Amino acid sequence: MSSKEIEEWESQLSAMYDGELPQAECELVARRLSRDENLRRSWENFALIGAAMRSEQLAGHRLAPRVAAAISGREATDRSASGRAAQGASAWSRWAVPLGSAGLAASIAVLGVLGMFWLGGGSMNTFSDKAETATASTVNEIVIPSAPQNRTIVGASAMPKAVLPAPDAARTTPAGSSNVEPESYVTPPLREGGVGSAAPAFELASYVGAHSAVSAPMMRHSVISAVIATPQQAVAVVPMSEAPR
Amino acid sequence: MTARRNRLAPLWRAVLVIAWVTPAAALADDAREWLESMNRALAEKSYEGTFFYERGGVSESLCIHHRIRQGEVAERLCALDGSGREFIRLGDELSYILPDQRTILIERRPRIGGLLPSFPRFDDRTARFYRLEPIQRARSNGRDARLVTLVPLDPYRYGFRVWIDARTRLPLKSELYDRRGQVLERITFASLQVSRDIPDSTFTPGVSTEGFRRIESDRGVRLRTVSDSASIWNLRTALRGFRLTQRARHTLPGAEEPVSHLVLSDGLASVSVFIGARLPPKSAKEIAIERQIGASTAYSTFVHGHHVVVVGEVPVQTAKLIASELSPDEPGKPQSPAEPQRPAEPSSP
Repeated sequence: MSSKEIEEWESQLSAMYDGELPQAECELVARRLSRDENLRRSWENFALIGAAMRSEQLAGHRLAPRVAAAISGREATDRSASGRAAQGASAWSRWAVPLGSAGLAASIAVLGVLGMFWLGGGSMNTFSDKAETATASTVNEIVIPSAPQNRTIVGASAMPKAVLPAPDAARTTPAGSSNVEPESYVTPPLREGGVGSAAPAFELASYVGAHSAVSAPMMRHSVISAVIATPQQAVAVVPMSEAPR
Repeated sequence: MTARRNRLAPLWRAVLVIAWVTPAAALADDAREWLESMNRALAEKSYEGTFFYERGGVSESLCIHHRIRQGEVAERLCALDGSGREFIRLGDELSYILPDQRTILIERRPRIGGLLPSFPRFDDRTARFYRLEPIQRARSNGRDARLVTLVPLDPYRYGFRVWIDARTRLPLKSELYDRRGQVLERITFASLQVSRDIPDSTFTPGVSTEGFRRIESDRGVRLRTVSDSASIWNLRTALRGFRLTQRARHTLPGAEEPVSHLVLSDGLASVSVFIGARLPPKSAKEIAIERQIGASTAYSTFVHGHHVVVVGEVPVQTAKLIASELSPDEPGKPQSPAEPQRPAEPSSP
């Protein structure tokens, strides 16, 4: 990662902490953190450092030895050089102070936000009538949603992993997100026969898509969701492409 | 005294009737108003959320982003499980991203001058086919909500229940159910946030589309063929409350020929009828094919030699009935009174 990228990251994280980052970008930041183990470790460690510097209880969290050493060193540095900026601190180290001031609850809550993305979907069981950002004051309200009973995930493994469907070709992701996909993601295999065998589904999807544009708003989501969520074999049933034209 | 009491008795009865009827009517009107306000909120607000879509014992999580900016709609629905399919609407362009089939379907629809479209409305005529239950105060996902229930009065339509958030007027949960009360489909929001604005980057596919096959509709084809007299199709009779509300002609992605598109609505459910080219079926099994996609029905058949597809959130028997009443008008014959005098373009919400 170049220094410019690091600066952009710091800017985004800072904005997120200040509550100035739009919700959608917060999700992108969280997704990227979830994908990049090194960045995530840095984030976690500095979050914990911040909490430790405030002498808060770290229930359920153990610091890596080198992090503990870093804390000891930082505390010693602070004691010996109070009022002076720590020499040679990395770009990341300046996050220790803001994280510390944000407090353990916020830090752990932010980890909770990331945890949701690790669990897949990034859904938040929150309802708001105004734009929300993952500020220290709001993230505490975010909880991992409970799935409905008898929930079955189509085409996914039993493990709560996020599912991304890009199979083998060069992968690109939406603007603003990383090109690097986590190894733990599940990629649905391309069905036998390739696109040729799936042709009927296209046409049915086209008809339903055209219909959704004239449905009542409350019905439209239902209509589109049905196509998106319906397994291919169930959608590809009206053999329009086989019908004469 | 007795005579006076007798004279007053009808008056008292009238007062009692009014006192009994008025709250019920007011509650029904209130429910109608909540439905209207929910439709407006869904169409006119910018919001983001995730929801569970359940049907047939299967549940999937999906995300939704909906933005209104300067009168133009941007919308993205994406499957968070399984196939990873997405639906993106950007102004007049609708796209399906089908990663499991490495394909993108793109349909370009006529621009409606930035105006938000009109939608089916629950009016007095609709009330002949649904019973609107008195509104109930309810709680859903920890939010103060109103439960609005529409009960179908005949087998040609589904019932609908929706829990509407009291503050935002957006739906928290909705159910479509059949005449027996069996829930066919349920949408439960896990999160829903009204946003001031949503960045453009949100409305891009979440997966790689490099190397995907692109199947696009050709806007030009539609313009060249709009004067085709064969596009005038009508229903022979009024169908159980379903009225012809829109008429258009456009080309679907991948199709060579444009289709006539008739839209019927009973004020709640909508039905699209697509009338394609005049060609006979290849085999007997293609004469009538019916499928359920969630609570929506797709019915493919041939009418007067034309390939017809009926799609709508109605039972299959309704789709069949509508298909059976289709008839091509002869050129020069006036259109039915229920239709607009001028072909109307389908809205692009």
